[in-house]
Amino acid sequence: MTQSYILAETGSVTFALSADKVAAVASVGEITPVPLADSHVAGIAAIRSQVITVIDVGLALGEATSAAQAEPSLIVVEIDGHSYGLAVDDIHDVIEIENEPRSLGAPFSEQWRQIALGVLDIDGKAVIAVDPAAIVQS
Amino acid sequence: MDELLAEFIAETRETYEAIAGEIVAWEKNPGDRTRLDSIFRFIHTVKGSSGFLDLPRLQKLSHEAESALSEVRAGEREAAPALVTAILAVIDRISAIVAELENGKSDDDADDADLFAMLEQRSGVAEPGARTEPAATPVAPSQPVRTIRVPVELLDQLMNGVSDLVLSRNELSRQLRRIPGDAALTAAFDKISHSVTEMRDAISWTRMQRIENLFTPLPRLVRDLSSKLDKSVSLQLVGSDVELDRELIEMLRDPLVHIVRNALDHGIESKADRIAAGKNPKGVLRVSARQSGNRILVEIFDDGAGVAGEKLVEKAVGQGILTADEAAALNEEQRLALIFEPGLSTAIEVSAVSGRGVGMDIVRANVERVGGSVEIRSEAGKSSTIILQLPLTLTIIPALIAGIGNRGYAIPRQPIDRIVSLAKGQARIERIGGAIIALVDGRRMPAIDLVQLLSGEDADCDKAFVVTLKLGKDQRYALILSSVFQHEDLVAKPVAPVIAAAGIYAGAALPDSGTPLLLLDPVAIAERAGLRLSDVHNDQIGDEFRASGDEAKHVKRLLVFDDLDGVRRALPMDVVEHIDQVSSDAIIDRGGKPHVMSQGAALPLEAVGELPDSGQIKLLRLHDGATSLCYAISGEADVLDLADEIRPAPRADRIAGFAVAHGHTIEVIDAHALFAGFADAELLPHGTDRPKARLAGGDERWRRDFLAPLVESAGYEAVFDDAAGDADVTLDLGASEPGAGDVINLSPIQSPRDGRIYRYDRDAIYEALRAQFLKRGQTG
Repeated sequence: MTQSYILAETGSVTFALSADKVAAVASVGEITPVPLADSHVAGIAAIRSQVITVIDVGLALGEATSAAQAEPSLIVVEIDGHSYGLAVDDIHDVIEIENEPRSLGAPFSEQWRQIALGVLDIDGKAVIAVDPAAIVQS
Repeated sequence: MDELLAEFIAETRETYEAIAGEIVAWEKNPGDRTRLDSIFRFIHTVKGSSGFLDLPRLQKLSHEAESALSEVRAGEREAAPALVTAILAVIDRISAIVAELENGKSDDDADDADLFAMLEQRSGVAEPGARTEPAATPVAPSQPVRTIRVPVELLDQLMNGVSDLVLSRNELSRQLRRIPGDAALTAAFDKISHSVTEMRDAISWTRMQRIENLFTPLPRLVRDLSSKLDKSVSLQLVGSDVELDRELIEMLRDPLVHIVRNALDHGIESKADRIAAGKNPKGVLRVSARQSGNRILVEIFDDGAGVAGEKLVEKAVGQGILTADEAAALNEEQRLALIFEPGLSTAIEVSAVSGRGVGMDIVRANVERVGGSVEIRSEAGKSSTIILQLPLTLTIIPALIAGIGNRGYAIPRQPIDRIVSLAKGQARIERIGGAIIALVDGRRMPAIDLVQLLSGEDADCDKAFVVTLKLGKDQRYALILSSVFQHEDLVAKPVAPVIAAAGIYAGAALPDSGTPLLLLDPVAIAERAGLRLSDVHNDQIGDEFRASGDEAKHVKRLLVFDDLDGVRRALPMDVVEHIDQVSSDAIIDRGGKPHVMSQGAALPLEAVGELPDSGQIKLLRLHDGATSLCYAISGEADVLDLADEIRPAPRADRIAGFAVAHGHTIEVIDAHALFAGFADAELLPHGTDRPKARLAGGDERWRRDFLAPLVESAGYEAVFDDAAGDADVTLDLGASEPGAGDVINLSPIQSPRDGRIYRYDRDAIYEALRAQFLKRGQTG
């Protein structure tokens, strides 16, 4: 069975996110910061008259921030009734792949262990599939 | 009609109509299992609801039919035509009884023996025509309250739509103000604006329900449980008229039942134990609800044995939840909080009641899921209180938009007492011992530098603003902000858990500027800053920095309205607490002057013209910080930001001056003169600062149902606890001889001679209470 994934890039890493879980891809102008929240919470922003929580995926992965640019690209996901925008450096195409993410028993680094669902084979290249809910909570 | 009953009737009628077809089909083919099942479900539902609503006749009827149908479903009995006929007759009878209930008749003990005999009939042939006619053909229905059930999502959708509409309306109003007035355009806009407001209010109400709904099953529960446990308990329900979001009510239902059950089971002792402990053998269980700031507080109090912190600790250590070292480090508060740990609830979950056992950990989880909190207080041997704090999200919240650092934030308007500017020297900030103390209005109170908290830089104390928040009587604290922008109605939505974890946000909103705003939670901020709110007391200590009373020339924000006599008038916005709409029935006459009944108290009403005899009356609720009164208006009220000064009126009665807006002159009412127009005796204390009147002696029901409303209308809070030592006045019907001091002695005899007051002499009782009230005001 084929599965759709969205490929996104932040810092030096490319990762895949199941398209089933993605409500929209958008970019926002201004992000209102939320003082005292965890550092990976970039802030809140408005998309189509809805307030969403913007998560800095770069920081969540222990990389450089990905919400610093003027209009970051957001992958909008809905988790437990709340909408989140996952801010990444770049969003690539949606691709259809046949294989399932496999853990391969790989000892991922601590930042990745919580959010990695496994490794996908995309055009002969290994790409980590991630769980958006885990990114939000990390 | 009772709302629950009305819902039951509507539901039963709906289902009855829906299964009418099934009945016919089943009659034709009694072997049809699907039809049988839906009929069984219908009867089962009726049985459940009628048990709950205490409708014995319906319950008996449905029980018998259900038993017969169970046998058929279990294959123990054949769906013989006689049985089918009997079941159909039962359904018809149910429908007839429901129709009677709807017309206000009771579920009386009429004879249904004929049907029971039919159900019993194990063999025999169908007798055509044996299907009884409905017991009573319903007469023309007396305008039943028609209800439909609607998914909450649809209401949310409507609410969102209306919220957007409100925001656009506000924007349009701003735009219109910029262009020169065109009377026709303004009139058309006012009309739309009015409709939008009405629609918004109506839709907001669809989500709100009186908490009474939650309280309704409690008397029954307490009665059943206390007789089962052989305990004697008096249940007091306070604040039934507090309104809560429907969803919150649903969420609270099980936890509340659980807490009440726990209080009866483990809190209140047996009669013998209570007597041995020197207590009244009758225990008190009080469930009260009130609004405090932007939260609803639900308190469940019992005067039982209290919760033993040591036992909880013992159990927690025994179950490995805590190590002995950790346990030793806990203070009493933390020990009690262990009751909310999973697996530690002391409750016996097998119960006579619903059988749905939820532990205290589930209670906490449920309450926290909606952004609330729960805490427990207990005094060993004396009492325990569980306090549920619930948010008011998903509703429109009037908020103050404030600048903190270079960002805007919203603060709920409700708890805000005063807004003063440090630049104008209206307050002073002192930093002592790492804490900040503000001196505002002659009161010292702890202050929190929000600028520091949220932007990391210290507030510029030469330019900053101080907002004081009042959480209870003499319980104030201050927030320091960079700037104050405007008041705005916001639709606050809950924030995502990752943001809620910061612990200072009550919600987020999207105002028409398009930039999202965070709504701050003042109570949580105070807690986070380490303020011990229970210890905050700030009596007035001096006159320094008191409001000068000469405020009119600083006032720039006015509420403009059409007065009853058709004149366009205005009041300073700060004086207006809120705008109300009441039915003309709520206007009563007291001492020859109009009053408005509001939350059990009679507020004096100022009306410059004729009040309408029927329909709805718009009121402004005004307050001077200590007392409230109402002002009747006729038309739409609007907020006006006045750029010019108010031109003082030359010694005009009750008019402070004139303002000019859109080329029209508006009379600005002198709030001081307005309040001065009422004798002290007529004004009621504002908000929750009501003095307590203890009602003692005589029949308890009489005190509660007869005396309490009168006492409350005189501005007191009626208390019944005999031990309440802090009552400001006592009304005593039982004393053998008249007491002295703050006691009003009542007599059951008409025209008593011993200085007591006849218990039905309303005017004399009212007068005596008001006299005490004034005395208190002078000494306190």
